[in-house]
Amino acid sequence: MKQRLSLSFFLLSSLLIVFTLSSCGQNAASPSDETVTQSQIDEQKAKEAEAQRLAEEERQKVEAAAKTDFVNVNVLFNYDSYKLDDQAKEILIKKIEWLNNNADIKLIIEGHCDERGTQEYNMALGQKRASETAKFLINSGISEDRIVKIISYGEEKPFVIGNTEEAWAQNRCAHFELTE
Amino acid sequence: MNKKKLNIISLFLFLFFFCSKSYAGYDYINISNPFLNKIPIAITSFKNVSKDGQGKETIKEIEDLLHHYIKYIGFFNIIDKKAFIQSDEKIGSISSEINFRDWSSIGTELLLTTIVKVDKNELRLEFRLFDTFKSRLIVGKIYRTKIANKRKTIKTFCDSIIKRLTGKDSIYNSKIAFVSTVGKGAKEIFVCDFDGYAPKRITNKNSISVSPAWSYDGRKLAFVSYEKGEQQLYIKNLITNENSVMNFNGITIAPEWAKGSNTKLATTLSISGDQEIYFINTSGKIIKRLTKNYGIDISPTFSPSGKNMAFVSRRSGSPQIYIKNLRDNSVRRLTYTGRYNTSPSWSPIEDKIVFESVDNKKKEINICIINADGSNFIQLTSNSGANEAPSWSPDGSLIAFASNREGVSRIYVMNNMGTEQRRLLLYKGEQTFPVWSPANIKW
Repeated sequence: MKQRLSLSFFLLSSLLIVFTLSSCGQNAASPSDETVTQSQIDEQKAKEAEAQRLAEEERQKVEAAAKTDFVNVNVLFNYDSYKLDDQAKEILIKKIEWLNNNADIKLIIEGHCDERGTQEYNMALGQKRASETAKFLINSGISEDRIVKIISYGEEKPFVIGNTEEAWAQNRCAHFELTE
Repeated sequence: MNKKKLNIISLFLFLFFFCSKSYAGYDYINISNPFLNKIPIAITSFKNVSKDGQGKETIKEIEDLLHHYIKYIGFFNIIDKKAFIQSDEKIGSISSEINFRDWSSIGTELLLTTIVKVDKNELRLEFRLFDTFKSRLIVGKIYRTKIANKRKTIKTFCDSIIKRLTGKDSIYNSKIAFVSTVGKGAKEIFVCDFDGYAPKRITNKNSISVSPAWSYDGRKLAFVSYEKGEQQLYIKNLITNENSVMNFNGITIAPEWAKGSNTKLATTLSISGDQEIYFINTSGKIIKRLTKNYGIDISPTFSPSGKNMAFVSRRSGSPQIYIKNLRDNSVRRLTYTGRYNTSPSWSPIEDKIVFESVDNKKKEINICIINADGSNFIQLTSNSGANEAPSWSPDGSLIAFASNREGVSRIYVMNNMGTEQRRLLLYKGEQTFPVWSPANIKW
């Protein structure tokens, strides 16, 4: 809409210029010259519009990536621990930035454990991981009512199936789900 | 004919005598350690008195079932028939027809004879259990029933043997609840007989349901399910199929019924923001807070008297088992061996606690047992992967647990000395969380 308005404004002003120039007599540029200029300007404008569109697309892409990251990058923990280490806090700070830029987003925080250890204890450990994560968000200014609920899945819903150190490391986490 | 009549009369006199006599002097089986000295028992072939010898297959089935049940609980050593002196076929059914010396001399202390009659769908069973050294009948029972009820009838008879020998209820009428994977990602609650027979699905939530717990009367199962997205505490009445859900703010972990109760449970809730164990009633009302400590407090289990509660806490920095005296509220730490001890289960008959201990170096989880005073720590499993979630049989003689020793997780049973470990049942998917019911399930 904005683009269209500026285009019509441009056309109107160029008409005015043409009229002024022609009324000035011989010194006026030939109409063919004028036409070239006009199309050149149109092209320029179209290019700008395209660039703008691309920029917008890019911005949306970045935003979507940030959102995907927000959901997909989990806060990881050490074995049998619910302490947030420096790496975990770094991830959380990025998440808080994103939450500040997306004020209408609400969250569910899930706590997960690796398959080692015992089932009921892991359920308890998962709850502590999620609640420590929630506390960090609240202490960093995220409104408490944006955290809709905390769920602990213990070792019941692993992200990566397998009994390798890598799989276990990925499964010891707090995970964010977005909600209305 | 006269002699027969007399026999029957004498049998009924015997039955009357033993039924009216209160169980006194249980010198046969020491229930807390029945496995070191198994009682030798000779079981003679069934005497078929059916018309035209009918019902051979049924009789064979019943005979096998009787052997299976007698053997399963681990108290008895069934004597090989090849050792019999007095012929199987010739043996009579009453004391005067039995040459007890022939039996005591082959080392058997008990002798079980059976007379069976099949008449179409009807079944008549006469069981007699003799003490061969004292030359006397100790249990005599006659059952008339439908063939379809054979399993229940034999369980009832085996139960009466154990009652006579130990003075306590047997496990024959108990059941085991467990969790099994169903389809992709779902976990449902099942119930089977004490020996793994007839597994039956109890929940159908297409979600994750865990931590089943039996009420004292065996009519209700409490459990935790994610059916509505987050953990909630459910109580299912197994008779009426009624389901109730308790919605607490926060999570619910590891419910357990208060000792001897059908209305009161202990469970971990996070309503205070931190995990604490509470007594609640079946309407979801909080009765009493039982722990007050920052961090993880879970898995309550109660002593036979109900006066003490063992539970898991991380108050020392690692998960360990603690005991709280519910009278004076004092708390003491029970486990010091290893850095990770969880899932306590207090014996229903004595002050022993079975639990699981994680050994990350060996990549093992083992079932261990310890006295409530901290003495006699014994590791019951080893070199068999992850062994988890131990649960006592109601007589305190056997322990059910989950193990991945065969690759996938299945339920196993062992005696309380850690020997005779065997798989409870073969079922599709993976099974965890076995929980043994009270002794007398009447449904």
